[in-house]
Amino acid sequence: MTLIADKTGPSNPVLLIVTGLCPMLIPSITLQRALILGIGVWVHAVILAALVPILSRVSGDSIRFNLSLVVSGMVAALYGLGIRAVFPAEAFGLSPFLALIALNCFGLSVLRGSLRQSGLDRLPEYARSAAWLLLTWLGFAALRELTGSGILTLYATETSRAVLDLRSLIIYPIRLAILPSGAFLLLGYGIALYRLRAKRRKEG
Amino acid sequence: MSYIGIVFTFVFGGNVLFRYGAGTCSSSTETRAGGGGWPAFLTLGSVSLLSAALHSTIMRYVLYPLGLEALEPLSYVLVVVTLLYSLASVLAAGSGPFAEAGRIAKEQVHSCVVYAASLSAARGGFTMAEAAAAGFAAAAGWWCAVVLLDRILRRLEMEDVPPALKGAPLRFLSAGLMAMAVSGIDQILVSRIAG
Repeated sequence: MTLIADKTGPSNPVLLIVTGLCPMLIPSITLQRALILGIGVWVHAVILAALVPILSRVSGDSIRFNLSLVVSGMVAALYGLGIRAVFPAEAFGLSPFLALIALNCFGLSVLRGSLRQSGLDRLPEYARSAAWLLLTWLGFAALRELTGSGILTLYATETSRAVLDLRSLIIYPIRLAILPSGAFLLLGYGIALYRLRAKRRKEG
Repeated sequence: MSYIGIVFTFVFGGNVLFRYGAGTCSSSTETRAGGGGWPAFLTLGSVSLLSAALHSTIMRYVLYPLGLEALEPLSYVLVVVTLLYSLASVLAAGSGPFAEAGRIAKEQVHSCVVYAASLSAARGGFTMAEAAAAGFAAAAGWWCAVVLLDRILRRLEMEDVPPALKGAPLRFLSAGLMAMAVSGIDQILVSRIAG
């Protein structure tokens, strides 16, 4: 976390999100998928930040890190089980990516940062960072879905589906946006636009 | 699927960087290892090979038959990471080139590149040897992609690029174009050509 924050600055959620969660940004092709993965990352980060300081107090130095990784794996597995129960079709499509909640740069940064803490002092900070990530993530996924297919999936299960259909406005969707290559391109242009906006604000 | 087919698939269409976005960011440990030259590459390949073989064996013979595939992250951390981390620690405690390899491996064991390679290999329905080949190919494919991206960025630094695009944006744009180029080489195409 410190590493990420040092490199990018805490007020830059777009840069924060791309430095650590890339493996889960790629499959976020619908708003619903982004919500599933984003909430997973948020829950994972908050639980780690709450449990790992306690674990580090009761366990020995040699096993502390591995024990924390086991907690991380357990949280991701339990979250995956929950998603399978509620959204089985989405869970099937997201199966390798739900597992990636356990090991990603953001989660590992939270884990390493929490290992250095003896109390819950940094829990609010981690929760806030993860919430920023979640919001930016949702915006990015919504943009991808809208430009790629012209609709916005609000809620979908095997039997019911709620979407916002904007195909009358977006007549020619850019299909590339929902492919992995489109995600990279959108991220690249997104960061560039963010920088331009930040520069203009500074100058203004 | 033949071994040539597996290698082609995991280096191109199934590349963990282009398909999963694994290890794209500059803050990732894998990218730092990317500057380590051949020792770091061989260590990453070995770690990825072992973890893919172990993980797909556990998935194939334990988790899938019992219907417990949701426990995949837990089993990976409990078995694969613990085992490989212990092995790397033993190597790091020694001396000579193996000690250096052990130190690098300790960083790489829990990297998202190795994890994505193992997850990807476990979904191919491969035998242990095939999964090991897939793991190594995935690491090699990621390495080649990162080296190529670094070279492209170095060349672009000499060009007149708008300041807002310098650094991370150019890295992502280049990755996007490369992903587009290799996305056509998927498993179906390769199995038709290479068997």
